Amino acid sequence: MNELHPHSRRPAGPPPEVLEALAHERAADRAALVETWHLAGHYLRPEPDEAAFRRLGVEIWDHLEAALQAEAPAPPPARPAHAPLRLVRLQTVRRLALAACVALLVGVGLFLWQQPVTVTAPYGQTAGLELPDGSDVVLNSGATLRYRRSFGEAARTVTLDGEAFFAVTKDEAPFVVQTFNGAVTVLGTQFNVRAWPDDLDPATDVAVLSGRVRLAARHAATQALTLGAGESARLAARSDAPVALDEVGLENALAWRNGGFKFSNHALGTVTRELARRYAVRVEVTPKSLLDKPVAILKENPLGAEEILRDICEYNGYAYRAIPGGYEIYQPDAE
Amino acid sequence: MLNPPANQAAPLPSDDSFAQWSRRLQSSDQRAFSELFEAMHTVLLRYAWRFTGEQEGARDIVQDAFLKLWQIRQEIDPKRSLKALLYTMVRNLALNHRRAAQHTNGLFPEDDLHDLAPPADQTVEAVLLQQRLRRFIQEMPERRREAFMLSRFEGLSHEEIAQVMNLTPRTVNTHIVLALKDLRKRLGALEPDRTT
Repeated sequence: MNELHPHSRRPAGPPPEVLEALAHERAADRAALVETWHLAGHYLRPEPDEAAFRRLGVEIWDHLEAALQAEAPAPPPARPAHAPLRLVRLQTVRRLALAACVALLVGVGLFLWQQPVTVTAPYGQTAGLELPDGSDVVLNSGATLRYRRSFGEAARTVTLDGEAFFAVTKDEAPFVVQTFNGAVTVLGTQFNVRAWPDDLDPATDVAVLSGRVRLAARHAATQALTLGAGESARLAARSDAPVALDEVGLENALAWRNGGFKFSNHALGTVTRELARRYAVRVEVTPKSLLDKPVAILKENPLGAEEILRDICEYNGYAYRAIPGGYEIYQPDAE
Repeated sequence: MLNPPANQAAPLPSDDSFAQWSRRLQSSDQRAFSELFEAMHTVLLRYAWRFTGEQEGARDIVQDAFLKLWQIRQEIDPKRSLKALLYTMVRNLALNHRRAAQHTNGLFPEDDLHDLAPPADQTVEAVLLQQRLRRFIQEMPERRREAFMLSRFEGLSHEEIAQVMNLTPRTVNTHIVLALKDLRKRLGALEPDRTT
């Protein structure tokens, strides 16, 4: 592994790879950097109570030893003279059961290890995470991101249900966001993906803040659309070809990251779903025929769901009232 | 000019020892398991402690890691680094633990800055330098700090760090070189006349 320092875990200076990288520096700078390496070692290694660690070690070993003994074939039990044979059989059964339990545990462990990592932002909240390659992701309320534990080894692939903003670190391996109907491929850039499969008008919307990305349908990769900074595009659920959107797209698409709520031309049903996720409230619409009606709502910094509902109703001639756990939008004339 | 810390930890076992333990563990050798535990539990406890900031959490993490290692002993690949495997398991368990505890301080818990009183015989200047270095390291991006600390304080090779952090060795190298330059730049900005 580290053939140059087989004898020591704390090599005298930086590892050879680091020295090699530093070779491009001026000699004085290089010396200063190496000295910094030493300084860090002298002053920064946190040294908590070694005695406490030894005590913890004893506690752990006691536990491990017990576990090992439980697993190892137990020495033949000292059977009392009058012990009936049935007891022995019971012990065998118990031992077999234990072995089966251990095998099951190992199996479950391996199974869980194979499962993808899943991160979900709860309703009413957003969630930030850093992927193993250092890329940052911010999930909008209710969105779910999945990736394999092997992420980054050959490819950087994540699966998104919902909306998220990505700041991808540059790397040779392409970074791919798979949605229910499409795939966004990038090298190192910042962009937003909105892909709610259960929206009224489901689509994968992509808005690029910096860099370039490629958007393509899952099964029609040839009709890809390449987007640059400031551009946005939509891949509708049943479409094979992404379509470019106008410039407003970007600002509206990124509004959620700063607490904004902006939809310029979306079905009421899509907007109420977003309200439900963002503010963790129930939003009903009566009658259902209103769900398809297009609405526009541009709120920079709304205080809560009610402020948005009030605006939507005011501009579109609807009304709303509180119901248990949330609100209902209705048509006042129909009352 | 600078005194090394008094309590220098014992050197880690050689890569050969780890390779032998791998093979013996595969054949369910409990002695090997016990030797490995003896050699590694203190450094792994310290490593886990950096994530948890408290001892009970670190104990549970290291205990679970060794239990799991024993359970998967037959799947151990002697060609891969057992040391890196141990660090990987401790790291994953520690990250889960941190997530569960909603403890968002990250590596190098905040307490470090205050808890560890400097030895009495150090000059004011040395204490200040120590505090600055701690703060600079604390303020590095999390991944960079982690790579730097694994390299500098755990003595892992770049390939082992790559395995533990799920990165390419090249990226690890970049992280460490950048960390070093960042530290140097910030130290230099404070003390422009101390360049050698």
